Amino acid sequence: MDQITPAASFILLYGVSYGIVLFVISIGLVLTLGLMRVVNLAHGVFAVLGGYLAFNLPSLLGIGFLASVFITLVLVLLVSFVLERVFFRRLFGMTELEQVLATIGFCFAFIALLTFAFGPNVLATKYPEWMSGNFSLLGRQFPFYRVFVMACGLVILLALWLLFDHTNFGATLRACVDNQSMAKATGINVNWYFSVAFAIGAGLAAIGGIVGAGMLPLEPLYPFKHLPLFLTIVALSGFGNIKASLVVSLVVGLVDTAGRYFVPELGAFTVFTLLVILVLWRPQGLLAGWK
Amino acid sequence: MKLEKDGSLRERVGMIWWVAALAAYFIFPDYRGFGASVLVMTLFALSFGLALGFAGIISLGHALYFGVGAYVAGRMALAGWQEPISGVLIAGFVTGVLAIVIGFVILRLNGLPLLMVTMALSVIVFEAANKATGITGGDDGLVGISFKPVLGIFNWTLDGNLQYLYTLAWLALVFFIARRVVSSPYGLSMAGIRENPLRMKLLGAPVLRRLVVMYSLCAAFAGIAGALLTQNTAFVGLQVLSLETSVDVLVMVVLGGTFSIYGALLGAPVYLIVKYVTQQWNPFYWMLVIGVLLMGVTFFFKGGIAGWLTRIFQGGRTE
Amino acid sequence: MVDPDLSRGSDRMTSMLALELRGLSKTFGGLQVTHDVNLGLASGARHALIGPNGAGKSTLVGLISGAIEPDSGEVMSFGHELTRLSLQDRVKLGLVRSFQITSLFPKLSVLENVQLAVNENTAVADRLWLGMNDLLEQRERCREVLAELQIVEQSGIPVENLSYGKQRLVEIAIVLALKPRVLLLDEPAAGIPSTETNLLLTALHKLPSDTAILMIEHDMKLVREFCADVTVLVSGKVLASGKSGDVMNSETVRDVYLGRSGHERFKGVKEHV
Repeated sequence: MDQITPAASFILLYGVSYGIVLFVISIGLVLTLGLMRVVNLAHGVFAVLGGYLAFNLPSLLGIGFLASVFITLVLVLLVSFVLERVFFRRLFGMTELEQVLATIGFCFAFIALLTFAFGPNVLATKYPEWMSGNFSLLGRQFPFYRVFVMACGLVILLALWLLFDHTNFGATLRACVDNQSMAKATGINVNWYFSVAFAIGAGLAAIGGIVGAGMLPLEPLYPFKHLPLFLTIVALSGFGNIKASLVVSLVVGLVDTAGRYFVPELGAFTVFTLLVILVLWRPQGLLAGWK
Repeated sequence: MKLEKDGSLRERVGMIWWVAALAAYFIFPDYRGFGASVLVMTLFALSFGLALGFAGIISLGHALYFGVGAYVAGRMALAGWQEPISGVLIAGFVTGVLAIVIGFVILRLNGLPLLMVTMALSVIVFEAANKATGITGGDDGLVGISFKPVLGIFNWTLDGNLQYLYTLAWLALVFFIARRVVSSPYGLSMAGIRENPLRMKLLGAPVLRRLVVMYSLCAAFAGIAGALLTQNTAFVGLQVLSLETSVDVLVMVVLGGTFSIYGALLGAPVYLIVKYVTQQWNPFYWMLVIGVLLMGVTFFFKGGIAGWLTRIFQGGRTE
Repeated sequence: MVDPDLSRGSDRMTSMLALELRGLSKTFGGLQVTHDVNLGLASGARHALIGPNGAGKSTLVGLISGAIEPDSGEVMSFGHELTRLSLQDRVKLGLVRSFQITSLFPKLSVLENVQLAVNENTAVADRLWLGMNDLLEQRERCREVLAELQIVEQSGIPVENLSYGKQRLVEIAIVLALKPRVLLLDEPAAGIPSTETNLLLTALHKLPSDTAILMIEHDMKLVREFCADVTVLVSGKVLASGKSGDVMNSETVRDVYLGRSGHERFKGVKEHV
């Protein structure tokens, strides 16, 4: 019994916080896939961009961490909004293969630019004092950071729930997803909503990148390195189903953490095997029956 | 695939290519080693082009078969089986069988789920190979590999002389087989499956079975390419199984033009030469070039190099 | 001719039927789309299936061709039970369907589209090489079909570049090439401008006389010209079934489906022999 509780609490804390980071980053991808039917393999770009900006602005501009995060968010929202209109929107009518190619190309180009700007190595990130440090629970030391991540996740979930279920904007957005032609017919500017949704997704990815830097280290290759992970989460979530992506992300987070805890030699093997089995079992998404 | 009308352009491009490949051996004697690796990748690209452009199987995990072929060849040599030609054939056979098993399961999917599974599978195998250092040598790879002379006469040397011609011969053989497949009734039915799988079912075609056979053939070719890499370099590293390799070959095929087997012949050398040159300046420069190239091909140069050539030499004829 | 009161008891007759549906039913999520449908076609039948939109005609086609599995009931052909068979197996037994919305191989040429069908039918589709005899036979069969439909000139053109009317002809060509014993034609005239329907009509008349044909159509002119028997489907149930003249003139059908004007249109027609 003594053995179980520390292990369980470890896996829960680490697994759920990891899952939350994955969820927050993947939301944008789920939205894009559901709304625009576009496979965006470059989505990780926004996560890593957010990270690089947030951690570099303090030294560049002499401001605090929170201010930096705020500015980063604004920048990412703007940049992604523009990019959607200029680039991503054009992917709409293309075949899946073409979308894959175009977005991989974008991803590569971005990685190259990031390398020019910051060098190829992992960015050493340091969170502010109030986010660091440990606390004791059940005889073990846990980083406060992880709790903070979970708190962030809860706040974001709450905000999303409020947005989608309790605002006009959210309702209209859902209408656009459910029945695009009908929405257009009632005079809704569907394109504008798509751009906004895309930007929100990018902004969330940026938050995920910043908050998750302690788990997914920031480096130029980030968008490509974690591509299989993000994509599989999205594939298992079905088209545009955010609730499902939460479940999948948490499952991935927990399984990966548990796997590494009990059988560290296997590393990422555990979680990918699970993912392959799941995709083969339910290719239309894990919670396809629900909605 | 188009009928005889376009055939003559393809034939001509093909002839020029083979002549150029042979000529390169004599014109660039210092680059035979590099040339051999280009030929290996061309063979790999051919195998993928068949799966992607011809059968319509979108996969981001073809490196799986390339890598397995490479490791099989390496391990056989280390175990004492050093006859090269049979080594290549065995490696191809093993990967082909592996693909039959995998194919039967995953080829029921298509689109995004198929992409996911192929990617995830190859990542899994990569991770497994990374950890199974006993079999694969892990990060360090397999070393100390050597092979008996080809056909008992031609010796392996460090300057790449044998490697180049040996690989070119294999490439020619595989290309010949690929061409036969493509222009056969079987090939036509694959084109049909690509264009409209449901209709093919309603013609009475056993779609899954045909796809699996095609996939297996492509995997076997990839395995042959992998084995050739091992024999040429006397080394196998984890890179052969990586996602980057799968993406590399995807880019090569798309660059050359997915709708024709000649696409691989055109795309692979161009890609590799560009990569080699740009990497001399700055290792990450080529990522920018490739990124831009990919976006360019998708938006402007549909059909890649082959498509571009077709448009130039055949005027406005529709594809 | 077809007995509209087909019952399960007459086994001797049923084994002769080209197509037989017995008690076919299907429910989709609470909605009963097909309700205990019985239908029988002998060889050479020219049978129309009509009914208002949403009557379940497409579902029925799906059930017959094998795309949809019924909740209960059977699909039989020449004594073979098809209900559990795959799409491919049904085709091999001679049950072929055409599509309401053209479903061809867009980037392939007209000839290649037909070749695909011929190859499957002559079982050479998975060969890597054709001997001289096989090649000649294939060529001849393709030429035959293309000539029947007068589309030989378009042989080399990719199907996606043809006019819609010509595409429909290719659709018929494919179906012809498969030498069907039972043919499901799903709204063959759909989308064809009236200027091109004649070509289609001629093509339909060229279908072999011993093939049993079930045609779903809204175009009453086509039904009148082509079909001797009619079944009316409303809300998934068979409302009436029998010779065209009888069915069309019956009061119930007129009220439920045709409406006054349709009945007027049909009234002056001589009985189809």
